[in-house]
Amino acid sequence: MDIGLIITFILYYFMIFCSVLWIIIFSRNYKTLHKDPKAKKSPDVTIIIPAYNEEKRIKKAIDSCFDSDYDGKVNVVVVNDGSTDRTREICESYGNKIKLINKENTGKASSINIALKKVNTDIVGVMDADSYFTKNAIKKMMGYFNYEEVGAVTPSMIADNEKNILQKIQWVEYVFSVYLRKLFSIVDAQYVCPGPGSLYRTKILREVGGFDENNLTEDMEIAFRLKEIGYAIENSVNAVVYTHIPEKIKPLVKQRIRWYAGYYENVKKYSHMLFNRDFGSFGTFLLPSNFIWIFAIVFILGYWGITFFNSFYQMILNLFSINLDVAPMIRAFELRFDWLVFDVTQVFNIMFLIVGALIIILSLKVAKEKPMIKNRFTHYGFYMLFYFSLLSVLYIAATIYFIIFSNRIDKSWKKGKLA
Amino acid sequence: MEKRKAGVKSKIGLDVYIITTVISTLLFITGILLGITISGQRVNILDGEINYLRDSIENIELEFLFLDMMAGNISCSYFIGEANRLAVDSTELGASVDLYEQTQRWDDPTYLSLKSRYMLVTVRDWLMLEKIKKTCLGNYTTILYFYGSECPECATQGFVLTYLKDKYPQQVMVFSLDTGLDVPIVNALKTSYNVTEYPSIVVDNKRYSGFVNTTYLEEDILGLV
Repeated sequence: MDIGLIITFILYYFMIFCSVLWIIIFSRNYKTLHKDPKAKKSPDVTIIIPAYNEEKRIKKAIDSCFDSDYDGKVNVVVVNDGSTDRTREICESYGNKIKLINKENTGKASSINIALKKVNTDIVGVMDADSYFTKNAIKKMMGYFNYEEVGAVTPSMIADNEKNILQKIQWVEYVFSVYLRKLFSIVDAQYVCPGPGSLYRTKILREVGGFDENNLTEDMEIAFRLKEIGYAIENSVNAVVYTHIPEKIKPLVKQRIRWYAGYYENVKKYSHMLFNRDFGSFGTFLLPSNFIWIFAIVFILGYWGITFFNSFYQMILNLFSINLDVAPMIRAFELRFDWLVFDVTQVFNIMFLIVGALIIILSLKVAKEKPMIKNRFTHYGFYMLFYFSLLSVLYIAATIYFIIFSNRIDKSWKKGKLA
Repeated sequence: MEKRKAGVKSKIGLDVYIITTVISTLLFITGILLGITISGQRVNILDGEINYLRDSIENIELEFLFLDMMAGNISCSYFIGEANRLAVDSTELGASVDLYEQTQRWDDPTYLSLKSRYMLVTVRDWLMLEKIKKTCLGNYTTILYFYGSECPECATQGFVLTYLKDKYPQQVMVFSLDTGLDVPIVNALKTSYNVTEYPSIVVDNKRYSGFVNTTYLEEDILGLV
């Protein structure tokens, strides 16, 4: 038995452990997953929408704030971050209904910070210009602010435009993250306040000096910072926000490398929280386990990828050794179905497929989405079988990217539209 | 985990960790045990195929003995037919063994003894086919193929031999011998043919050391084209 196989089995155990852990936490909180506390009062709220060249979608984002059934007043501040398209024109058509700030292109975090200075409500929200609230989203999130220690509340994000296969696979991923985000929030271990639709206490945001303008993922950084100073981040699965997802592979790759490199950046910045009991399960379990997950995905796919590549390479060598005369081989070929074709490590692969299917079912339950097995079957399959291979490559890319650029992270990535 | 109270921070409780450890350990052990069971099942299949081939060979051996005793005429067409049948069976067994080794990720303890028996039956098969060839002037060539574990070219050599066997199922019969197992009869053959490097093949009592390419093997050694 070689060392690779032993490591694979250790990682298998870890993966089983995590899956079981979250399923247990799910089952213990099953009844309260969809119960949001009722807001004691409905304070006015300001939604900041940073926008860079969002002429196609900004209208929907702004309208969704006004269409909200929230009882308090909803103010909207749009920061036009140096758009070169019709974004400004569209915003101006709202007249005095919204507050519009036009400025040079400086990036998302600084745009939010500029707007934050003009906010005069106790609660402030951030909404990416390519996303929008559903009617009751703000109302559902507001109840969590009844509790003093809650610094921010996150919504559940659903993919808005699931048209091609890549987007449909991402749709499954977003549903899965609705499940994870809720479970993380139960054990107070959310590490991202998603750009689309998270609400914050204005006072706290100001106290910590707003968003970090030099961070790859400012929405993750703010979550780490709130955790660091001891605030809880809550989540409401009923508060649905629809978000625009990349249609093509290239923007998806760019987005993910930014996310994953951003994760490294923030773990480095807040490394004192790792294994620190003061920060609860967030420090002792979630942050370390994320690292093992990344390692697991990269190792398992890398190791088995190399194994596969080796046999592929051998096959090529073999075929050339017989001068590509494959006819005798084909003639002698017999399809067989017995235990001999069964690789024993596949026991675990089958186990993971079952657990994966179970988790997708639970995720759909949490997100209250219809499974539509018939229509989505291939997407679930693709998600479970192949999507992780893509992600593992992106994890490796992000790791390399982070190592090379950690001291001079490409500023251009922070500018402009960030999905 | 404690029931979440309003305004009180939750974390993953010790009890959750304990339950999780128990359940995931059980699942993991189930997986491993299932793997071991299936692995055993796979060995059983090979075991059955080896026994079948050995019985076939024994049967022919007894037929020879019986004919000797009766001093009767040997029906060569019958024995040539039997030889071809043996060749087909041993090819199938070889394919099964290959498949087993390709898909087995860990060494099943029972497999090593099985492999030794497989070597014995292979040598026996070879001897039998040589005997039939000599007695009945069979129109086929037997190839003894010696391979080792630390041998990058062996995979390709094995593939080339399989290719020739597939191409000339009636004329070429290959007997693969794993030298890493320390089986006495394989060692004896190694010594008598003076095999020192791998891959090596023996055709008509002549040894060829190192990788032999398809064209040379097919045209010059076997004279098939």
